[in-house]
Amino acid sequence: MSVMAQSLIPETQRSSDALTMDRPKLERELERLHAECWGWALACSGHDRTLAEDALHTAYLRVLSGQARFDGRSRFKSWLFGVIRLTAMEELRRANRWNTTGSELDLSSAVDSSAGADVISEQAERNAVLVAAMASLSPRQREVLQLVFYHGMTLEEAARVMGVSVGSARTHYDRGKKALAGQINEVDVR
Amino acid sequence: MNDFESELKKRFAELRADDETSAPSFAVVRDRATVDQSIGTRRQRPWMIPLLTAAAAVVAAVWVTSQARGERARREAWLRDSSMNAFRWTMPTDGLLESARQTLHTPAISASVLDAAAVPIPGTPFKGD
Repeated sequence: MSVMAQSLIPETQRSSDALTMDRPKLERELERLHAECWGWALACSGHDRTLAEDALHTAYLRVLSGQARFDGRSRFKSWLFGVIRLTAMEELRRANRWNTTGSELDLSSAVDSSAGADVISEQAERNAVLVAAMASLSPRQREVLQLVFYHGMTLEEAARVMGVSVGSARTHYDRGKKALAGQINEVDVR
Repeated sequence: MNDFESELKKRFAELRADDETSAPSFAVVRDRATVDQSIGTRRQRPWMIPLLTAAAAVVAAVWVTSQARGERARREAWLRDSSMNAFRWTMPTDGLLESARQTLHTPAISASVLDAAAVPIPGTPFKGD
C-alpha cells in the first residue's frame, strides 16, 4: 500500500532520482531474496507458517503492483523487509493474534511435551528452543535480534527496517540478547 | 564478539537453514500474488461503488415513477370506462327530458299552460293551421 511505503520513507525526504524498477527486475530481486524474506516473514508472524505465507504473498503483491515503491534511499533488502514487517503486522492484527504469538509459545512445550520428542533431531530441538526463546522476548527485541543474527544486518540497517533510531535499536539489542541468553541457558540447564 | 554471540550466530544459522528447506517456492508465492493483483486491480476502484449506487438509484426511481404513472393511467381508464362511474352516471330517461325542454317554453303571465304546449315547432304541421 502506498501509505505503507510513505510511512517507511517520508514524502518530503524522497530523492528526485528515485530508483525505478520495472516488474522483471523486481521479480528477479524478490526471487533472489525469497529465502531470506521467508525467514523474516516467519519471524514477524510468530513462526506461524500460514500467517507468514499470507504476509509474504501480500507483501509481494504490494511490491509487484506498485502499491509499495522502492525509491532507492536504502538497500532494497532493508526496504523490502520493512514492507514485509508492516504487512505481517497487519496480517497479525487482522488475525487478532498479535498478543498471543509470544505468550502462547511455551519453552517447555517446545522441548519436552511434543508427542514425537524422542524422534526430533537434536538440531530441530535446538531450533525449537531458539524459536520459543525468541517468542518470549518483546517484539522489538525479537525483531532486532532476528535482523542482526539471522539476516546479518547491521544495527543501522535493522533500525531502518524497524523504523526506530539506532540508539533505540541498540537498547533493544542489548536487552534482548541478555534476555535470550537467560532463556536459552535456562532450557539448557534442564 | 563473545562466546554467546558466536553461539547465537551458530544457532540462528541452523534455524535459517531449516527455514530455507521448508520455504514455499518463490514461483508459488509470486503466482498467487499475480492472480490477486488482477483481482485487486478490479477492486481498486473506489469511485465505482458510489457511481454504481447512484446509477442503481436512478434506475430504481425511474422504474417506480413509470410504474406509478402506469397504475394511475390504468385506474383512470377503468373509471372512465366503467359503468360504475358515479360521476358520469345518467338516468336512462334523461334523453326524454332533453327533447321536452326543446319544445316546452315558459308560459307568459296570464296565459294558459296549454298555450305553451301549443307553440308550433318550426317545420312541423300545426293542427290549428
